[in-house]
Order: sequence, then structure tokens, then C-alpha cells
Amino acid sequence: MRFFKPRERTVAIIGYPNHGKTVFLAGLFWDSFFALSESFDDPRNPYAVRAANARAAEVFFGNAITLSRMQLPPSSPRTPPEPALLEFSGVPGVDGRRRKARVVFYDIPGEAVTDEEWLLNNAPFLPKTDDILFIFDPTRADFSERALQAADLRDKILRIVPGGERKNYIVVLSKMDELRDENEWASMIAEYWPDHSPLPNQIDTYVQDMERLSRLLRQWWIDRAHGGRGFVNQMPPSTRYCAISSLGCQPAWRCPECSHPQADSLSGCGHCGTPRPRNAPLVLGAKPRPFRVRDPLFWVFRSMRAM
Amino acid sequence: MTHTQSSLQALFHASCNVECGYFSGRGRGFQTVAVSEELIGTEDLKRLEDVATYYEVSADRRAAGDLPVKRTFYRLPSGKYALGETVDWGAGPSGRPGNYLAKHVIVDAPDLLAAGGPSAVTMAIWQEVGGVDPDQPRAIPGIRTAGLPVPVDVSELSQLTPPFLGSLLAHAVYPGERTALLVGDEARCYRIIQQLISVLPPSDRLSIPYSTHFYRACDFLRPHFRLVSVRSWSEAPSGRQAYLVFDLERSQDPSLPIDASVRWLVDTILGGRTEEIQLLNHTIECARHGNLQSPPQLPDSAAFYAALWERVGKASIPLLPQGAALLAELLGAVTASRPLADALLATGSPAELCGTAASPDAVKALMTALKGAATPHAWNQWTNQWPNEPRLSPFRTPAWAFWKR
Repeated sequence: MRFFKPRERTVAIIGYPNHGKTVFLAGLFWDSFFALSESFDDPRNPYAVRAANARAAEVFFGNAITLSRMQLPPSSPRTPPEPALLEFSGVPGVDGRRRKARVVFYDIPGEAVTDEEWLLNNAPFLPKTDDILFIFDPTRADFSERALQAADLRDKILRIVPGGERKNYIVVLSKMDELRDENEWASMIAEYWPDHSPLPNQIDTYVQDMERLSRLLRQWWIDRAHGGRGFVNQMPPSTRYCAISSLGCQPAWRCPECSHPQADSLSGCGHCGTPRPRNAPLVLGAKPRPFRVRDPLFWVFRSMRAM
Repeated sequence: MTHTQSSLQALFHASCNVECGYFSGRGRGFQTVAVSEELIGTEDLKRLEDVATYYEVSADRRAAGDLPVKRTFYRLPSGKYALGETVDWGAGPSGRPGNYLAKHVIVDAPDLLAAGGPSAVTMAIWQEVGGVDPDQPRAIPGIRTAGLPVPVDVSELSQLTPPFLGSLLAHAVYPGERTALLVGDEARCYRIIQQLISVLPPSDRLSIPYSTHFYRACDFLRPHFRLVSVRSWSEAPSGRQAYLVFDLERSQDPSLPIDASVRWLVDTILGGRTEEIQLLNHTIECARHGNLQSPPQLPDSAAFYAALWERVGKASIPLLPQGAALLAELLGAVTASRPLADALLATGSPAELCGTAASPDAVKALMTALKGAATPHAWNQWTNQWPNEPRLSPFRTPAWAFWKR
């Protein structure tokens, strides 16, 4: 009898507050549980995802259930991250074989990423991390600020993680649904929207799309401003770039006067002009339809040769 | 024993996730929204901010609207103590749920001791300073306020099984370095914690820093607390092997060793005899502070004196009764009788220890117990000190016996 130990990989999710880290993890699980389990179905070795520890059940199942109720997951408190372990089975590879994979996720609180002392004391797993996934929200601040933040984050990681330059990096732009109507983005991502989860015999093509999109996004970072080039030049050539939307649409707040739902990006009601109340709770207008939220996961699968 | 109203100097601190907090330039996030200026720039403030950040609720409880109140009591670097209360505060500036408001009252240790311990202070004190609005950050001057009475309450403790209660009391009376984890209904756990503290002498009531809703990632804060509680095993902190675990629902305890003091407390609590607990605590305080000019009226109970001896040792000697029968019973009741026997021999003559009305059987019992428990040196020294004492005659070793050995 032979025992095959599943491949295992550790991924750290790093980004500023409200850039989409926790919602990304919920969307990733949602996509695997609903879309990929269907498109990757196989009578002998079906694709499945399982929360393998209590933290994973909370982070993935718990937040996915919250999304199914059309609510956003709660903000992550500034607590030391606990490992959330997902087990994947039936992962189809480009060679047609199916494999198992175990991925440990660490969701680092956004408020803590600027505190190097906190990271040193509360993120001892960082040196052992295989993949570091940076998430940035390109929708709210001007790009030069975003590029500087990206470079700053990367420098922090290199200062506190020995051998940081040898890690795998994945740079993710989130909330792409809000940029679809902007000309710049429409030309880049239009052909990839809407998103369809690939069939097993389409993995090769899908990966080629991921490569193409990564090159486009890398070019976007470089072309956008001097600061963008400064960031990209620091990153290893193996860095992958992704553009995702974890929810597929913007969450909304409800106007207290006329009850019309208003997009999160609005500071006042477009219907009656009432200013947005402070701390107005956000809700989803529809069930999540994630866009390419699986791309970072597929890059991880490929790094561990599970795909 | 009546309550003498105490006075405490209280400082304040509150944190919440806001767009802009008390300290400008911090930006959006969980941060100080109200603070007494005496705390600014101190290590105490840093500790308050660090401990306050740990509040999380499971997805199931959040969906059910079952949001816990986290109550804390812990020591600050300066030696002051903080009493905290953290509650869910709806959505944060991002519009996502999971915001929370953490309020603290900070008190000097001497004030808190004089007031009777952490239960003398409640969060209602915030009403005296106008409460807190997280979106209106402000400084809050410290105030002088009255402490509440802290009665001995055993209504919840008396429902526990004797072994469970014994282990819990052993941890409360002799906390040690490890943290105890209480798993069970939150309200019940909090009552138990409060009542455990209330049965301690006032000078021991700061030795049990505690936290309720010690949810999962809170394990990092374990060194700050001696007693923590969670509602269920699914919410328990990681690394639970580091804790002394008390499972309320299953009545499972870590079987800590108990001495005569804890045994007496168990018996008194299960019997609901709170006046006796108050009497013991008052006596302990008198003995510790050497305040024995007007010793209290103590019961004729060997178990009571055994509890007193276990808690204050030789300081209890002036309070121990004269009486052969009672002292003989006392020597049998304490956990380790040798130190007590030696202490008795060092302080009293046979006549003083036996009392005036002791029966021959009682005298014999006491002398037998003393000889059996004391160190040979102490016994010989004592018997030689009273060569003509008839009570000791049966217990002297004849001269010829030395040669026989």
C-alpha cells in the first residue's frame, strides 16, 4: 500500500484595510465550492474543497454563508492570524491527471501590515510562507499613492522575512467590477468578462489566458506612472499579476430617507440627495458572481505542481 | 461586617473602529476614541490599546444576533488595574459588520484593594463622565468616585459539584502561573468568576485577572490573565493544553490538590455560610497586617483554624485557641502538621496549650499529636523546657532508654 501525501503550500494574504482580503478568501471558496466543483466534475475523482481545520471552517464556510445571506463578512480584528487550511481534491492538471492539494492561508489584518514590530511578533509563519499574495484596491486612491503603498509593503516583507526575495509573489487588483466601465479597463479585461469556470480540457487555454492577463497587468503597472515602474522593478520576474472581483458587483448601502440602494462608491443618495450616514451597513444586491477569483489559486496550484 | 464606602480615583479609555480617532494622523481603523490625559504617552495606554483589539465573534453567533459582552480585569505596566467591557458596535467606517467598542476604567491598586476588589467598580461609572461617542473623540478627565459594596456571594458556586468547586477554589486561592479556562454558559461563567473573587480576602482579590469571551486568537493574551472563560469548545483558544481546563457542562476539572483551607471553603460554600467566610477573610486580613489588638470572636472549629493556618501560617498562632481537644483536632486537620506543631511548641507551655479544663484523654491526645508531628529537636527542646510538667511525664523518654538504643 502506498501513501501519497498531498502537496502543501502556505499562502499569506497581505493588503491594507478594506482592500478586499477577507472578501477575496470568501469569494475564492465560493468559486471553488459552486463553480469549479461543477466544471471540474469527474465521476471518479471529482473536484472538491474541504475546510480542514476550525479556522478554515470559520473563514471560508462561515464567510461564504454570510455572502449567501447577501451580507459582507465582518472586518478582521487585529489578532494574530491563525492558519486556515483548505484541502482540495480532484485538481485537474494540464497533463490530465487529478491531484490533491493542501493550502494554508494566513489572512493578515490590514491594520497590522504597516506595523513591522507587530508583524515580527505576530506573524512568525512569514519566513515559512511559500506564496505572498498582495491585494490592492485600485478604485479609491490615485495610482501613485497605490504604487507607493505597494512598494512599501514589499519592502516591509523583505526586511522581516529572511530570503523574502525568493518567495513567490502574486499581485492582485481587486474590485474590478467597479472599473469595467472605465475605458482603460474595458479594453484590457472586456474579453475576459463575464467569467466562466474552465472545463478540465480547457485548463491549458485558461492558464494561457492567465499568463496573458498577467503580462497586460504588469504593463499596466509600469505604464501607469513612474511609481508603478518603481514597484514592478523591485518584484522578481516570476511575479504574477491578477485582476479579480470577489463579488462581481459593488455592495450597496440603503438610503435612510428613500430606501433606495446606493453603490458603495457614492457618498450621497443619487435619488434624493441624502448624505450617506456614517457607518451605513453595506449589503449585497445579488448573490456573488466572482470574476477570476480563482486565478491566484491556480497560480498557487501551478507552483506546487498540482495543476 | 459592614461596608465602609470607599473612594477610587478612576481614569478612562475607549477604543473603536472609526474614520478618525483621538490621535490625529492615525487615519481610519481601530483606535483610541476617548482617553484620560494622564494615560497619554504611557506604557499603560499601549497595553490598553493592545488588549482592546482582541474581540471576535463566530459567523454563527453573528448571524443569530448572539453577540457576547467581553469583560476583562488585568494589571497594567504601571501597577494600576484596568476593568474592561467590549461590545459589538455594528458596522465600521467601511460599512462591514464586526466593529466593536472597548471601554476601560483604570484604577490604582491601593484604591481597588481598599474598595474590595474589581467588583467594586462597574461600567456604569462611564455615565458619570457623559459616556462615549466613538465618532466624537475627546479627553475624559479622571474622577473620584465611590466604590460599590462587594458582598460574599456563593449562589452560583454552591451549585457546583464538590470536586469541581474544590479545584476551582484551589486555583483561586493559590493561582500559580497557569491560566484556568472555564468552558460553559457565558453569564454563568461570569457569575462564577465574580463569586470566586468575592470569597477571597480583600488583599487577594487583585490576584485573579480575568477575561470572559476569551475567543480563539485571544490565546496570545494568556499571560495577562489567570482565569478566562468561553462559551463552548468551538470558541476555545488554540493551545488549550497550556490551560487548566474546567468544563462546566460536564463538571470536569483538572483535579488540583486541595488543602484544609480549600476544603473548609468548599464545605462553607455548599452550606451557604457566607458569614463564616466573611469572618475568616476578616481574620486573615487582621493576621496579615498584625492587627490583633482586638481579635474577632472566632468559632470553636478545628476546620476554621486549619483554614486560617493554611492561609497565613505562623501569623495565625496568636489567634489559635487554647484547648487540648481543639488543638489535637487541628493538628489532624491541616495538610502538613509539622510546621504547625513546631510553631505551637515554640509559643506555649503545656498548660497554655492544654487550657485549664482539659480532660486527661484530651491532654493525652494533644501530647501524642504534638510528639508525632513535631521535629524531634523541637519536641525534645520543649519537653526539656518543662522538666516538672506532669502532663509531659508519659511522653518523656527515660534515661535508660537512651542506653538501650
